[in-house]
Amino acid sequence: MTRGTRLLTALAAFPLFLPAQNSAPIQGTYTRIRVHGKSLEGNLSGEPADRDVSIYLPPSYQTQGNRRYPVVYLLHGYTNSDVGWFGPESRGSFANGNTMTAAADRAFTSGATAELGTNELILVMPNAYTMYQGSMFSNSVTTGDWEGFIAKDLVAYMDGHYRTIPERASRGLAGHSMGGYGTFRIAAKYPQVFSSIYILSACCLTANLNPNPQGSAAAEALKSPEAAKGAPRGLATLLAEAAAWSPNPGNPPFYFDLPAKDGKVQSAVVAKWVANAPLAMIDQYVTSLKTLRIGMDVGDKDGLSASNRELSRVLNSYGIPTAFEVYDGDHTNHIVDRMEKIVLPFFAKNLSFQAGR
Amino acid sequence: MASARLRFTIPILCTCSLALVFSALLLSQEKGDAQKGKGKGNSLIRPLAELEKDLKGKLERTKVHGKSLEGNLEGDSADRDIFVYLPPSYQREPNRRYPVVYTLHGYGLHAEQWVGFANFASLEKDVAAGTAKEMILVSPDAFSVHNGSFYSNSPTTGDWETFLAVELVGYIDSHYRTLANRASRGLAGHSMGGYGTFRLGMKHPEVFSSLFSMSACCMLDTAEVTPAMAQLEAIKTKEDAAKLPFGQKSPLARAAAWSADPKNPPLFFDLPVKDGKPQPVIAAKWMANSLMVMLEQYAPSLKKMKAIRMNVGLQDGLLQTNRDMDQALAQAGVAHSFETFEGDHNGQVGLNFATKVLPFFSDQLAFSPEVKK
Repeated sequence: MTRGTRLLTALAAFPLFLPAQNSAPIQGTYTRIRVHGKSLEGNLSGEPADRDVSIYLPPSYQTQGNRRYPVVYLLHGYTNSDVGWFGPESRGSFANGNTMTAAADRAFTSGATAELGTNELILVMPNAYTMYQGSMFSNSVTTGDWEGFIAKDLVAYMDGHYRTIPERASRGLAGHSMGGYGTFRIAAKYPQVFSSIYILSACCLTANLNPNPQGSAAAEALKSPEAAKGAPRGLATLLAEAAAWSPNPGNPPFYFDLPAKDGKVQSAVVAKWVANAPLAMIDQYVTSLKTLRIGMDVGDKDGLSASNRELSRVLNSYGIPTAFEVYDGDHTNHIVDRMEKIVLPFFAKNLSFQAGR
Repeated sequence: MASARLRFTIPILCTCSLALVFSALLLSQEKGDAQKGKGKGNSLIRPLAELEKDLKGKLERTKVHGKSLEGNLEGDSADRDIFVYLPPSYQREPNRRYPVVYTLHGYGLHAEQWVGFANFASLEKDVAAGTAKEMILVSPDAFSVHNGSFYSNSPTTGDWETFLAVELVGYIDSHYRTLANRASRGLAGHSMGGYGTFRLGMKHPEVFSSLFSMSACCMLDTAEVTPAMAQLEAIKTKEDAAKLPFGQKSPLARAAAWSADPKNPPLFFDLPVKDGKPQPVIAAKWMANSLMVMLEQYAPSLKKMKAIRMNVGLQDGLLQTNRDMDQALAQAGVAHSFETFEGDHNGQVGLNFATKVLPFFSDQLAFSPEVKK
């Protein structure tokens, strides 16, 4: 149980904090805008540098014209997109109207912490769905510099266009699966931008030094990136990871190398993939990670639970305090619940609601 | 797919050639040490006293405290020796400001030896000959328990990246009349220092604008378990490590830099071998710290550099890996120049510094405050 939930439970016991009788609006505002990513310009895949971005402004944003808010940047998982969380194409645990917008409304307008008046957050999620179904939030000449896009371009845009508290202490980063992976790597590289992070069911944590020599055959058979459209998940993942982790500007039309070629493992490519695995890179980023407040969780029936436990263990071995929870669930079935009941309260508790703190 | 373009082969090159290089450095170091004690002449490392006699400018020795180095698990000092060379006009012209070139020594050396190995005095000869301009040269000491920090960021050795790019640069800018912007800041280094040059350039392009890598090491380290590596399992304490011949210590330094383990005292690192078996998780960490591999993630940083130059001797065991890096930089679209010269790993360092490195920075750095970026 996180401290957030304990707080929730404790406060609920006191009638003093029952819902207030004011007429505050109970719904936030959802908008979808487009933000230009200078960091994404010139990527060799030809991904648009103008990205759709879902923005959730909390209920009081419209009525309290001078109030400024902390911002939580959210990163979705592989094959998903921002509208998979916020609608209209919401899916997985977000389906059937149970969108991130609805979950945020509930989190900010009910429950004990809402009455403290200090838990409303701006939420932002960029669309990282690419031609290979996911950017991997990495830094690649082929896919673009997604780290820079999130940590610099998007943050600057939000601070320039919305009433944010434009400070590290008031900025959070969270994501699920591929987005949990992105959360780790972007926070590790930009600890000056974010102060708290939450990693949900992160993928891609473990380095694979021995890939299947035949594992690239289907990808090798593709003639062009267009032919990859609608590729099955396994193949698409391979393409997305190659584009993100082993780019090669000298190798059109895909502009990446695969970990195996003609049935032989390509050690040089494998080394590059390895270098992008958090469990291989973490020792280099201990100083960054120590400056963050970190929450993470994973479902006990998720195939990724072992690697997430290992990440938590390594963080602990370095004395980096991490709120880690293994809950009853699989890779996707409780994400919206976790967001509402655990993740948003985590940020409400850890982010600063006042400038200059 | 064109992975065939990547002509390097992983397993053997790096570790073997590193061993050669470190053995070669051993010779220079022993000579250097002997020389310090007995004042004998040495062709590779000029003793400080002799070098200073040549100088019209001034060589200052100071200590800089590294907050980023505090609490490193192996117990290296957080107060580091720093040598600062100030050109002759520095005293005469109290309003003049200068570009700064930070120079990083190789494995097994101290900054004091590096100043004589690179021969900082050659700057004044270059200036007289019109091939270089007056600038400030800085040399930080990165000697560690296992003979070299590898300029990395590790809980075991400390955060050398931040110490150098943030703290040391901040110290120099606030204590000397520098042109305190990236356009007037260069970074160069030899061997392990060449590795550090690329690494810091990748991580801190906002600090440095030009890089010169001399015979850089560690392009692709796969942590191959050689018999020599396997023998290191027997090393359990700092005292054991101290008894090792110099040439065998470098894997310990790399483990301290790249595969830290706070739960494994007293050395606080894991080796890529355990009970005679390779440890893939540890090998992955070493690979992740190899320049060729880091390049994929940091090409955008290197592209911000005004100029990058690298060279290596044709008789250097690191020739091939440097050629591979040249090719990888080209593939990644990073503008740079690469050249080879007649010579081995150590023999040409002074000549290289005088005839290539100093003229390079004289061309590339901004020597007036007007130029901002």
